[in-house]
Amino acid sequence: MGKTVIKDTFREIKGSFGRFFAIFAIVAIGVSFFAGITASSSDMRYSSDSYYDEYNLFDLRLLSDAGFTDDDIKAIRETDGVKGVFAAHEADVLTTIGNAQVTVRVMGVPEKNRADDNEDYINRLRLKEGRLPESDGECVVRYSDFYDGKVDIGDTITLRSGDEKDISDTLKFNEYKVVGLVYTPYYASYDIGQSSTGSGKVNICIMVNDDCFAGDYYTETFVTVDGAKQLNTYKDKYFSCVDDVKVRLGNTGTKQIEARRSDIKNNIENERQAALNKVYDSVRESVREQIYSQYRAYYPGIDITSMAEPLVEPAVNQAIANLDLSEINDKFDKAENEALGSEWKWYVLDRNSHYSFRDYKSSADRMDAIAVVFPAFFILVAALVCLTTMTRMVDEQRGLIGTYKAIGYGKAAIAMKFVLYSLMASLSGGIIGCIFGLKVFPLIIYNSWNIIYYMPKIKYANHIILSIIAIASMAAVIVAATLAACMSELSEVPSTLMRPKSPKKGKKILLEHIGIIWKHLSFSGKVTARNIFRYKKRFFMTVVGIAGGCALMLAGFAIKDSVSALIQKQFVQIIKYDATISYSDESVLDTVKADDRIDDYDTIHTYLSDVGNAEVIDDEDKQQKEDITIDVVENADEFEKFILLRKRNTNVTYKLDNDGICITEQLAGTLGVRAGDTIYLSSDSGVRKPAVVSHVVEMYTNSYIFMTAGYYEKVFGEEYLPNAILVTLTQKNDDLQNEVGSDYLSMNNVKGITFCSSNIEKFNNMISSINLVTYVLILSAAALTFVVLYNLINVNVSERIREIATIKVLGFFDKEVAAYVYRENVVISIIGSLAGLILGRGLHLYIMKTIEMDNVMFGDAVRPVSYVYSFVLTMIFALFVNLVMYNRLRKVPMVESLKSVE
Amino acid sequence: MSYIEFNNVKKIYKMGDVKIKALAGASFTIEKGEFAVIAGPSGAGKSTILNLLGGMDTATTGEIIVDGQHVNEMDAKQLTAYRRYDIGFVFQFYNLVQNLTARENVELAAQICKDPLDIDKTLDAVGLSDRKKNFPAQLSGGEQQRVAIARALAKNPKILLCDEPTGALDYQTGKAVLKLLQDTCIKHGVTVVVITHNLALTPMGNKVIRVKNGVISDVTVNENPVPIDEIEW
Repeated sequence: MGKTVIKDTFREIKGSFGRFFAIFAIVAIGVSFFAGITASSSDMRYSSDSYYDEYNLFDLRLLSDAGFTDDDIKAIRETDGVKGVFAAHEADVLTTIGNAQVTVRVMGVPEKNRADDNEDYINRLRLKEGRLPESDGECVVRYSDFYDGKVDIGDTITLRSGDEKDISDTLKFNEYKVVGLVYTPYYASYDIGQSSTGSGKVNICIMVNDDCFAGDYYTETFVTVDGAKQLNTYKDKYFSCVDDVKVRLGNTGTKQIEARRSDIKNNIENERQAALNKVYDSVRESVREQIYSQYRAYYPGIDITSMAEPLVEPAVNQAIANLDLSEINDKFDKAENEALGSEWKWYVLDRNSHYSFRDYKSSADRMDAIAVVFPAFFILVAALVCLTTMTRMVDEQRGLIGTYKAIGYGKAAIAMKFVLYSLMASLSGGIIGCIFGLKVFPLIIYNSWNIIYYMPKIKYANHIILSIIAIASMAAVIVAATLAACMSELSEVPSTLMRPKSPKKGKKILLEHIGIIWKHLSFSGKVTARNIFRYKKRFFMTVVGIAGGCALMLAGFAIKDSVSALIQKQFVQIIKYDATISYSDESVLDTVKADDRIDDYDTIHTYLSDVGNAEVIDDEDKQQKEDITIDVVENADEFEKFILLRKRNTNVTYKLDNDGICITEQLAGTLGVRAGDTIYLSSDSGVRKPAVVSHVVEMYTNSYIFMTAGYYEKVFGEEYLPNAILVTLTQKNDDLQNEVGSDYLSMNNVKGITFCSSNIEKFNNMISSINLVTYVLILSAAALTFVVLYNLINVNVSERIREIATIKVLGFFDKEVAAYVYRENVVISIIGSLAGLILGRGLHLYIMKTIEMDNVMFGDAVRPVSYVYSFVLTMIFALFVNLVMYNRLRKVPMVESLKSVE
Repeated sequence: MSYIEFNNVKKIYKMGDVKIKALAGASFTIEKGEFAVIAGPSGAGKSTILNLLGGMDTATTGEIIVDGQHVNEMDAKQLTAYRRYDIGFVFQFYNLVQNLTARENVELAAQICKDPLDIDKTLDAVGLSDRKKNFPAQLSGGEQQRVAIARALAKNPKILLCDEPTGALDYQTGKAVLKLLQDTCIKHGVTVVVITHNLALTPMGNKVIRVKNGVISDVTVNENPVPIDEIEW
């Protein structure tokens, strides 16, 4: 291959820019999708890893049954591999915000030296507004969308204990002034976690100076590990680095606990000995006194010491042996038992045991799963587009190939021109696609996820390797398609090549043999039908391309449908009650009864329990779930006024009875049980018993188990005691809720009131992020449809230029010419769109399955109108391309018809 | 006034800064029902005349009148209508739609006309009664050109415009095609204009118009055209 071939190639590109652009565009779109979506998950990981590093997130978190002493902290610090140590406190307490009882997690921050180079300041706070606490009566609040505006700088938060203990046992002060809003890498997820205080869920997290905590011991210790920061926290290498220190800290723990226990034991023994000695001494004194006084009486005036003293010790020993020391011993045995009776242990937990970390990680993993589907599809379309385009190009250049051959160029040299042409198109498209895709898609996806996470701005990871893979794989496919396109031509002899290729023969298509249909087709219908099936490659490319576009769009609309259906079904059809009032004394029932703002009410007993599939015994991780809400219902007949129990996608409703329980669908899935199976669950007092599942019911958020009071008593043999009231209000508005909320919270016999509307807000947030995803999908679909149709029409026009010129000469008006060419495009578009609707439904189901989250079940409902939208929009895109290409058709010169076959 | 009139028609193509005179003032007339032969070497301007007369291109200056209509004054849409209703075109390379059968190719033209001839009768007339259902690729060159003629005729045009109708055919077949054109002219009274570089064909025309260097060099009227069977070349 010489310079001339390269020159020829460049001129070719200039001369046939439309064709070059078709390959360029499809590669750009394909690569930007492939690289962009694949990069999203690693950008999520990279951004969060940098965030964790920058804000010094713990590597290990230590908990101990007995708390940590200063000596423990010293030992931890001295353990090999430990870099920074932050001994801190954490406590869950209650407060009231607005009218709602809120569970607050109070965490400590170091009261001094918050400098960046202080390795001991772990889980650094990221300030959103205001400042960090400086004096002891101040706090900062972890920002969350839900409490935005409800808790603000300048507010004072009053804390109270969630149990019988006084708040002063935990914290030195109970009032804190909010001086700042912060984010923390420790809780990057929307949900903070479970708590044994209040409603069972932590609503809000505040940070105070660590010395505001009362108590002798630290409740938890955060540790960073030498060299861990340099490693990617999502890689095994990081965990093996941290694991070494984890093991050593476990050993440190064992030693510390032994030492501390023997210290305590020694202390108690010493005290016991002291107490005994005291008794012994008094016994000795009285014995001695007794002996001495006896001797003094016998030998008055004589020093009797030498006589009496040897008798004292034996007598004392005798007396002691006869003494009853059980009172003293019991006391110290008891003390010892109290202090050391339970086993002590240190728990050394890594990031994988931390909910927020794990949650974000699994979101990134979900993106990986989604990223698998798209690239394969785009590569297929790109290969088809390239194949049709290059085949056309090779056809057009038959004569030239023959000439090159006749001059004496080899196959490889000639093929080089076409390979070079398509390679340049795909490389430039790939580079542009990478530049665009790697910026745009990760940003959109990252920000969409960030609606449920609190991560700082995206940081782009280095994607050189991914870019190379994306561009190279696409280029390889394109070159392969190009070679496939020119193979047959290259093997022909020059003389054949220089003669015109006989045009593709017209022949009967299958449809013509079906007389009934064929006869009823109009003339133009017949022409269209023949043309569609004449070029199978092109037909296939267009159908796949348009189906893909339509499928992307339907998936976009359908995701939105599923999530909105979730809100509609969950909060309108299923959950009908407005609030739960939990109470400590049932006298509140009289108030509720008399309250005319409350429409309906019923008492229930609600508590949390771990549940598990009764069939599975040894595998602890699977088919088990912690902290499931159990609602025990007194009045099964009335229950549907509050929660509707029904089978999903049907109108079959269930009524609770005394023969079994109803469990929600996602829970049933996790446990792997169906109606008729048995699961284990506990009573409120912790008695674990099997229960029979009667029905699996529809529920989209959280997991529940419902049963009747009768069944509860039957299974556990415990008395049913209601502790909460479900109420529906006469009107659904915020003012009424606020009023009712504050009224009830101020009553002594009310522990808390929770409104369902708070959940709706959280999901409305989610929807706005999904809107964004929908728009991205629609735009991508438009781009894909455009490129595929553009290419189709381009190839079609250039291949049939003679035919088009001829019908123009025959006197077809411009519109008739367009109709003659476009009719088949429209039919192919319709076929493609219909196929796309089926494909899109599959894609939707796959995506919904992939992004399913803990405690949220997405339905798979799609509104029929979404199918209509997707179809109509695809057709509009298709018509738009036709419109754009209309000029191209109009400009086909009629003289083309006079030329000889090339 | 003649049926077809060219009055001082010029066609100048601009290629960037270069002006190429394809036709430098051509004038001639053709009468209704005549069999006219326009002959000349390549590059003389034959094709330009064909393009202008066929309504595929517009003249730079001059007057083109066909059956009283001023073709040179028509806009794009009117030109299309003119091609549609008044002109039947026979191409050198037949230009059949490969994907349509012989009959369908004729139908393609007939369906857009106001008063088309019967498709089957037209095909019978060109001697293709047995090949109606064949695709172009299944037909010989002469048969394909017959389909093309049938397609032009079925439109029932005022003028049958033939561009080198025998150019791609062998001698015998070419002769048969020309005979068909001559018979059509005589039997149906259609005005036929044949454009050719083959001067041997000139004796068959009622009128022979010779073109050279963009101008009409000579117009001969043949009172007694020779039947094609008697011409040898």
